[in-house]
Amino acid sequence: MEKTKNIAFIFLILSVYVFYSCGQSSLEIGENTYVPKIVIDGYLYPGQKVEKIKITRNIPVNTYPDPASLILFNSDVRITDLQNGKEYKLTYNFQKLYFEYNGNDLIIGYDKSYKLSVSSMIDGKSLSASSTTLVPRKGFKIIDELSSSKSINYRETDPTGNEKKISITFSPSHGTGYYFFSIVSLNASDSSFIYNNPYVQVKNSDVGKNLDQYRYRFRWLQNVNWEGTFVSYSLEWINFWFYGDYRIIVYACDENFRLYNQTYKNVQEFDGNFHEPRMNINGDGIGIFGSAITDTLYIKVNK
Amino acid sequence: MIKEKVISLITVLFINIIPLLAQNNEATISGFVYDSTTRESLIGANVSIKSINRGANSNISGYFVLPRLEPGNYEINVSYIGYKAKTENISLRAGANKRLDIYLEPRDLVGREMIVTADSSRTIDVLFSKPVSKIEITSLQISQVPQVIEADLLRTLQTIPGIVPISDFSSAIYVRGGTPDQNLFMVDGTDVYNPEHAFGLFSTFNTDAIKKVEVFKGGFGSEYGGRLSAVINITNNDGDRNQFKGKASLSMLALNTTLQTPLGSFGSLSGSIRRTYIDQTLAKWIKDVPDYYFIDGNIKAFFDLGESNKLSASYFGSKDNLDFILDKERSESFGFDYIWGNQTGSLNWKTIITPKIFGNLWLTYSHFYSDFSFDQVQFLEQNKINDITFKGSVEYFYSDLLNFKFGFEHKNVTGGLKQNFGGGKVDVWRHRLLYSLYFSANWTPSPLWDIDAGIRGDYFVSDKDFTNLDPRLTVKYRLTERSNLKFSTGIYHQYANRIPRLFFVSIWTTADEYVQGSWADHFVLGYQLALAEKLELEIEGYYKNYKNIYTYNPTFLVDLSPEDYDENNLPIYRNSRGLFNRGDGKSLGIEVLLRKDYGAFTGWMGYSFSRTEYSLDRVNQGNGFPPRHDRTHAVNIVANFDLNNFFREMNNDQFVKSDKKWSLGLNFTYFSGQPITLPGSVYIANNSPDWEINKNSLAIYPSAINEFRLPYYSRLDFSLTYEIQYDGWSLSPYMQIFNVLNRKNVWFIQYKNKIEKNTIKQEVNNINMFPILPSIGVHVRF
Repeated sequence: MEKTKNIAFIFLILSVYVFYSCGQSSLEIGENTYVPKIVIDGYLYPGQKVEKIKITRNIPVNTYPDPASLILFNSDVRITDLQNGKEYKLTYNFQKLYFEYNGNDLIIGYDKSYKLSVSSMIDGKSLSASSTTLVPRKGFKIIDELSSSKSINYRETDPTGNEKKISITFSPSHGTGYYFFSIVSLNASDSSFIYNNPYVQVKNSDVGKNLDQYRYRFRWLQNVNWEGTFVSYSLEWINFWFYGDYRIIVYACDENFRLYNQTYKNVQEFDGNFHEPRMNINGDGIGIFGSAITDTLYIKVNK
Repeated sequence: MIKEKVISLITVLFINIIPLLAQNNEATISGFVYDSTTRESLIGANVSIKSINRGANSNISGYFVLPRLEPGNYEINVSYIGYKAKTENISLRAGANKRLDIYLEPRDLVGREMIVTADSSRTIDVLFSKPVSKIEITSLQISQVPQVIEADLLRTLQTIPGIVPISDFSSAIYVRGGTPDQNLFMVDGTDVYNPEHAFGLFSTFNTDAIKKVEVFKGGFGSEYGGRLSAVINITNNDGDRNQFKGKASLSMLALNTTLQTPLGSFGSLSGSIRRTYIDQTLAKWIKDVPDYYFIDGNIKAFFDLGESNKLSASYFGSKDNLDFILDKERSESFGFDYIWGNQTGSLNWKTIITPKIFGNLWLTYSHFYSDFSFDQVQFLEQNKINDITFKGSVEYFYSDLLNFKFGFEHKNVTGGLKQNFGGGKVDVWRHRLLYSLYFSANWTPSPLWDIDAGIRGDYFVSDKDFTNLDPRLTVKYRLTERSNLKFSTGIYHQYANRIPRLFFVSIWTTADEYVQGSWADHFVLGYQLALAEKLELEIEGYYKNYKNIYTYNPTFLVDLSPEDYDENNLPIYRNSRGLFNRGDGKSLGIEVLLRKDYGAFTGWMGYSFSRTEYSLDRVNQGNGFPPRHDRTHAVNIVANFDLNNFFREMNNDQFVKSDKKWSLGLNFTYFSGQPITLPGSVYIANNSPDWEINKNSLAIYPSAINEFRLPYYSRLDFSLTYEIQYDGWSLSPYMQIFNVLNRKNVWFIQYKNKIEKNTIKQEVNNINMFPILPSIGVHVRF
């Protein structure tokens, strides 16, 4: 009797083992994770008018709308010059698909603060968001004579055998420690692709599929010594995947630009979990309302 | 009022203690308890004189003392689980100090399991002598749990209630809501900082070299400090004192050899070495397999320096080497070199100062290093830790009712991190000192009670100095003939934090002007019941509070601040500012463990309920949330069957000895789902204002932190071993299958977003943990 009980107990345990240890678990993401947000994508540049302020909405995961349907063109968008408190209403440009201010009485100034306020309706819900940017101080400029020449051979070596790099030297803006380098190939195609690169073997057919990934590259520098007279930085060859012309725009960025740029895409950890990006937007908004000073360098990479 | 109470308490204590102190002219019996076959000391053996109801347990060195005995004739009973009990008759004169070394013979062996009969220690006595929240595991038990390819200490610990993993891909352990950096790992008295091989898949501890593992899940005594959650104290084999012995193992991962030999009549030597071999086999044949190997080894020598002194020297070394080339067939390809490893060494001198005073001195050295070089993107990293520790303890066995322990520890730790990443440098070099003193008193006011009170003082010298006093208290009470009640509490401090990183080994940093020392308090209440002979049930409830805990800040890049600049005005970082998110937290839970260590059917069943909540600055808007390792329910069943004798044991029949034996191992694991932060929504975004919207212009915005749960995790592992014994040799081929039913447990969710034909498309994929993983191997013993 005792033996039968023991055997029954063991079989019961084994049945539980088997019941729980097979099959497939999966996680479905439903609407319950979604919270509607106003998405701001706008930058101010000193000496320029206010334009290219894009206001869209976020969408739930697993939905497939047309991107054009995400634009919140009925939004109330205003910008306030915090130096004098004067508010300017932006209008939507249906040709260019962004908000702008057409008047001539608002030109963005160096070292000035501006606040963007947005109100909009999403899914019948009234939302609002705001953000303030402090435009960097004057001073940032690429020093052409200390930067790389306009033309360089791919992985060219100097007389000592060391690989030459594309270097950019600039004078920093006082108080601005973050500089963003947007590297865009102007001749990107599968025929100009650098197949004999030292990094990975890429098939001709794969270049077209991932053209944007190779065409748009970026680097950034942060916490540079803005009290120094110049900052010098070398771009690795891994940022150059095509022969031909490149446009390198260097941005001297405000704090909002820095926070957004370094964290908005870096939200998934190595165990797959997500964390919050850092964005200086109050209320029901996400995205970026920043400011920057820009300067541009054109470089040609030869075979 | 309070003053009067304190005076009354002190008076009561002195009324009880002073008469004990006043005794004199009495005899003492002391000595070591050894295994008669190997002459290795036995920790926790029970030595008693039943006629006068006196007794003692051997300490971690196997030493026991029965002090303050009246002159006369005594029958000394010595017992230890798995060994034949022994009785010695002793005649004591007044004032005599009788040295009595006892050699216990292992019980009749059937295979390698030990049969237990009623003349061994009583289960309830063994449970009573055990500290609160302590689990002991032997090398044999580790090797019996089916695992991923190799037996692994840390993965075995993950089957104990209160200890959980984060995923199949990590051997790291989370103890009662604490993080892995809150665990103190010691091998032969030496701290080990990063005990991981193969990016965390395996631990560095070689199972064959282990003699015993003590795991304190909480409420530990004042002799341990420097960590908030747990202590894992590993003692390696001293070496067989009687004969040359060896063991070799071949698994699908590594080749492993352990040898033990006596050194004349005065000592012994033990050594192990293990190396993986895929770099010499698969990597040469399959181009996608990287050139990777790890090697580890240890050697330990033990010497008897007369009757009263023992010296042991221990060395452990490990190295992981990855030479990665993306495309081996190209003359130039993306690639990097990565080497990391540990080296530890210790000298331990045990001395019997007087029969009632036992001393222990250690000099230990622990070194961790890693070197990473990725020339093509000009990224270099060097990481180092050196820890030289001098520590000692003195145990004073005043009487069998009262003994004291005093100890000190001095750590001299240096370490640094150098990184060169093009846009700046990290150049950190630290020198830290830790001075600790502790004192504890163990008092047994009656056979029903056992009280251990202690205090530990730390002085940590950093950029900013930290001084702390940590009181600890444990009270045990024999509730009935078959049950005990235990309580433990204490305050714990920690001055080091670990930064876990993708792919790279972790970096340790210390408390300084930016990172305060962390502290926790523990409250543990336990109930133990001897259900039947050698079948034990333990139930423990705990509550832990944490203050100033630090977790890795995933957005640290925006919080760094340099202290210096190079010639190009690029930053040089020399501080830890911004690397961590500071926070507080709490954990509570209840654990149930039913355990059977001996017989033809051995193993344990565990259940735990737990809740952990952290509140971190800059995370979840400061609101509390459960961390990733929070598992509300966990069930573990580990069962090992000696198939030759299993049914005999069930029928209470005599076991049979056989030269051929089949063993079956099962390991069932169930965890309720881990907390997870899901993608809340998707939006259009670009890295740079001048870029056109393209295929990659989508970003994810997360939901509230860890507000969802993954589906439950479950797994069944299986092993089958056939052992053949012949002329002192044993050959054991085995097969084991990890996740035998191939359950697809979700690890995380992967998203692919793209804009195609004016439509946003998203692919959502569940990334699973290990599928079914069969492996084979063989053990040879001689």
